[in-house]
Amino acid sequence: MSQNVMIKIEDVKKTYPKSIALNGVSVTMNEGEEYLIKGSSGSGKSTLLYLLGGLERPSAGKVIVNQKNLGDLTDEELALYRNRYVGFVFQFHFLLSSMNCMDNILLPARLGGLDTDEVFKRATMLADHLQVSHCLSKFPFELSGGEQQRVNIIRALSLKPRLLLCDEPTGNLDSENSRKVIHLLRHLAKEFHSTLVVVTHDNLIAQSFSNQFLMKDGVLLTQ
Amino acid sequence: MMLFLDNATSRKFLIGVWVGLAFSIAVILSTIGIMNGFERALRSGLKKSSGDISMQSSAGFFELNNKMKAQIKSSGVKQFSGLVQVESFLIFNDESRGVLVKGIDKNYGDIVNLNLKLPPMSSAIGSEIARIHHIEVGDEIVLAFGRGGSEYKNMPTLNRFKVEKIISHGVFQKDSRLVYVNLNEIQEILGLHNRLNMVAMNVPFPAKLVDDNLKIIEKFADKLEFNFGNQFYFKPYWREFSSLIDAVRAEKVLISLILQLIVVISIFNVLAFIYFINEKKSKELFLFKALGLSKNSMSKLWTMLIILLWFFSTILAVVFVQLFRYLLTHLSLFELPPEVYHMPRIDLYISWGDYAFVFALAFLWIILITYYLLRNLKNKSLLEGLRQEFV
Repeated sequence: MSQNVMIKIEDVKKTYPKSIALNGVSVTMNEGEEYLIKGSSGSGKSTLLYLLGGLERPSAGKVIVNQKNLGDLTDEELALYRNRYVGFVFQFHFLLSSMNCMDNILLPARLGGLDTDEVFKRATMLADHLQVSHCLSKFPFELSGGEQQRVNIIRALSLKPRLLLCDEPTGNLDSENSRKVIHLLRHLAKEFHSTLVVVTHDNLIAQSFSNQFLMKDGVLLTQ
Repeated sequence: MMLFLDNATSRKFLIGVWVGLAFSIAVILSTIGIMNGFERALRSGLKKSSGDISMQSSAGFFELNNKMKAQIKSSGVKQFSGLVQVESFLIFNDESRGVLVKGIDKNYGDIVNLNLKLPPMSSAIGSEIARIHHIEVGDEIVLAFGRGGSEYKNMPTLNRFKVEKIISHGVFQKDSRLVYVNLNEIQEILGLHNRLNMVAMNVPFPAKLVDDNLKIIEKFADKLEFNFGNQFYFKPYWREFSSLIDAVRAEKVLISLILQLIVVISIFNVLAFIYFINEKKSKELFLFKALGLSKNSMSKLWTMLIILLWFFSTILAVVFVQLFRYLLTHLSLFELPPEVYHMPRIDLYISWGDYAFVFALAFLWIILITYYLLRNLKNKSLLEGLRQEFV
């Protein structure tokens, strides 16, 4: 397992007009490892994840990913970073109902102006692996919750992201499916050499992660 | 586009916005078209009754000698024709009306672009005279002139003319007033010998300078007046209606500006549509952003959609204008009282310049207003949008 530093967060603060989401968070995460951030609702864990994913900019401090300070990137560069570097798995499946599953999976490649042939092959392989091959030509509303989440995971991994960010990935699933999804995420992140960061408030899931943080009132505590 | 049109509500909304914008553009174009059409129809009708320029003498009757003819020709006038124009009473079936009789020669018809070749002791009358007095081709009318025979100098002279043609100038005032007879006959009736009281003339136009023709005619009239001196005056054909035409032009500018409000109001529908899509499709829009679409690319997509909306609105607006033109020229509802408006119907006339002006102004409004909206949307937090979906 590599010990290269992938993420370095230095005294990051994120404030909103009426609240403070993050209040001086500092943490380092290594390339190819798995991390879990626990915390109650409103503790700031999702905000930290979105800062890592370049969806938000910090009010103060630095978010350095692969030696690049995300705060220094332009809007266009940040969009490219999200497209090429980051894969998101959200609590809700977040698949577009107007497209079939394969089109949903190919969306990041199309938005990034990339050749879809390779992505198509990878998606087909992953779908086979995740046992959702029969779903690729279907529309999201024709799938069960578990199937939708697996298609969502394929989309997140479609461009082989270096950083796989999961926001409550099992929040919408029963315990059996939750266990399967977490297993899949960990397995695939390893296979793709991606750094995995999972945000959850589910203690059952948390037990299996060796690198754990607790987020409380905008402050990150090591477990 | 799938994003905007994947459900019936979005589609209906977009169609409503499109039709609304197109209709508001069409209202402005039609208004301008009506005003232009009125001016053009009036000018065309007036030109049919006098040619480009009419020459009259302050002394009344005059003889158009060779020197004067040469002077007119040397001014650049290609076509001219002398005539006598006098007030008269037309009598038919015990009814009479005041008319303006024009004694014309064979060249006059070419100048006013009307077929006015008349056999001896025959006449052509305006269409409104024929309609009001139920006169038909072949009927005999009596024209009473204010000069009696040698024994009855203070009595009117009554003269019978067969109605050979019924002429329409397109202007009520002309169609209800003008009667044409042969020049030599009226000269003989009035004892004028070769004298005239008017010369109608046309100026040569450079090709494709339709709107500039008026200026050319005015220049010709000024030049002729300068050449002939104070005894003669030269009037462009629209002079008697010039104040009305000026008023119509001023109204056109004012109404065009006021009607911009309609476009602005319809653009608020466009804004409502953008807000609607942003709210209804916030999940998809923010997903696109999360997957790598930049805010600038999103703004470009919106701008492209808005430009497409504007473009298709202009096309639909042209269709609306043509539809309105058809109704205006065919539906009895749109017939005008001719005594008030001088003409029974108005056709729309919209120049390329008018189209360009209205389309460009609509484009300017739509771009300006959507620019401010998109700037606000760009500043909206991405996380805020995503969270709205989870709540």
